[in-house]
Amino acid sequence: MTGLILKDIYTMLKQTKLLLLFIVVIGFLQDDFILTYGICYASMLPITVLGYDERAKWNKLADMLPYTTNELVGSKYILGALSVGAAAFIMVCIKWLHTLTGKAAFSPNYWVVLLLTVCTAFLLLSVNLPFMFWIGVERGRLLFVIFVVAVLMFAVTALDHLEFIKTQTSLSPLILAAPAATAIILLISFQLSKIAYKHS
Amino acid sequence: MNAIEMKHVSKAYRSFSLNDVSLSLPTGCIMGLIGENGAGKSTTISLLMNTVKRDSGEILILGKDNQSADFHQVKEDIGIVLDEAYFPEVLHAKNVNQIMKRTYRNWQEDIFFNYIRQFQLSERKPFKEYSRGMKMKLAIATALSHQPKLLILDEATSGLDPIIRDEIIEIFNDFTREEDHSVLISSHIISDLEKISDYIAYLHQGKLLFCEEKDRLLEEYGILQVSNTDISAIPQEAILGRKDGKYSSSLCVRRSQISQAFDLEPAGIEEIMLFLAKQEV
Repeated sequence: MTGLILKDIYTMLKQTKLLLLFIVVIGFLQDDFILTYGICYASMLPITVLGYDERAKWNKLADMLPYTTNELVGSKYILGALSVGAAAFIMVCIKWLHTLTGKAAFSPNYWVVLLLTVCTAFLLLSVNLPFMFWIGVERGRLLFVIFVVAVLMFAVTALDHLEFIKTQTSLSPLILAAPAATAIILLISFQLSKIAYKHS
Repeated sequence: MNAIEMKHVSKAYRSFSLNDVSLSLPTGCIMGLIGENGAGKSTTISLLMNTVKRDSGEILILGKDNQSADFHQVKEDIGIVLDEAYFPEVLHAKNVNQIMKRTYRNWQEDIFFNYIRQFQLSERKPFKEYSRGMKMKLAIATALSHQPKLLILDEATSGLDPIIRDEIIEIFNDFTREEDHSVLISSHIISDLEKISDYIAYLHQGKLLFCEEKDRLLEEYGILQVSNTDISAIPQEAILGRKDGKYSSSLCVRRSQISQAFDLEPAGIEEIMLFLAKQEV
């Protein structure tokens, strides 16, 4: 599978350089919102690569190579994980540089925000990829936007009616559950993507 | 052992179907797959590689059922060139080498770069800047650089100039000097196939009209020019196909069923194919 990941890295090398620059710049801004944005943006890189693959009809060739569907689909998830991991790592490194100069400090809140941001990035990846494998990048993006808007509208309505959320004083159980829930959603997404890939 | 064995394979789509195709490519041989556009050649290749699921029948590649769970391991021994190269446009030959080195267990860098030099391809030029011929050469170099036992080539020589086509045909010919190496090559350029094939399989509108040894085909069939008044003297069962003119007809006939009194011209593969296609319409 390393051949597939290497191909993806070569394909997005230009985008990677831009992303690195983007992450470094926003890393120095030290703003939680921008940190979230940078890491979530990294989770979209596999979609960019899928777009290039689609244009080259790479899958026609890839299907003929000695790879299993698990590897062909899984490589995009690994690429997503690598991108998100690298973006988060760079953010932390920059934050650490700031601590050396005394301009910032690692507060517990920082790690919570980082953890939840990484989980959010993986959730985006999990929702995105099955759509992309199913109907292609162009239509998949459209469907993804519709899906996210629908989910957000539903969530906002639901939260208005869930009194216990409003009275919740501590978010710690939610924080603990987030990585486990993300892992489960990633697994489900991977299985859906495999089905979508086989039927695309 | 046969390198490829298809038994009664069928696949139906809404507007096209491949019906009951059975063919065998003996190990060490080259088979040319011919047929008009849309005849089912690419579908056949997709079925062989199991990228399209068959509706019925059986396919063995290098002795292994192509729907078995470990068929991807058999793909290590298959070199494939499709009608286009399908590499992402930003890659160059050196990138392809690095990717394939991590894809095929038996990848041989030195062989790959020998082909790159032989085909006069730039190692650093992005794929998108290659001409169609250069793209196909890169795909051919890739297919030949991992010690395959079976080459499957789908219109691999189209878009190449006659000189390089001849060179590549010679490479495919050399490839089968190893007794366990086989080639399945589909092409519109029948003269190329006539040069190198041991077997010819002819697909027409999703049906396999014949799969025969090339030499036997050339020996068995002949072209007979006959006036329309004499045509009744030819046994109907001997006529494979005909082209009728105002005063005379051209017939593709079985030599064994025709009187030696008739003067038969040799029939080329292309002529046999055209006569048969006409007959089938």
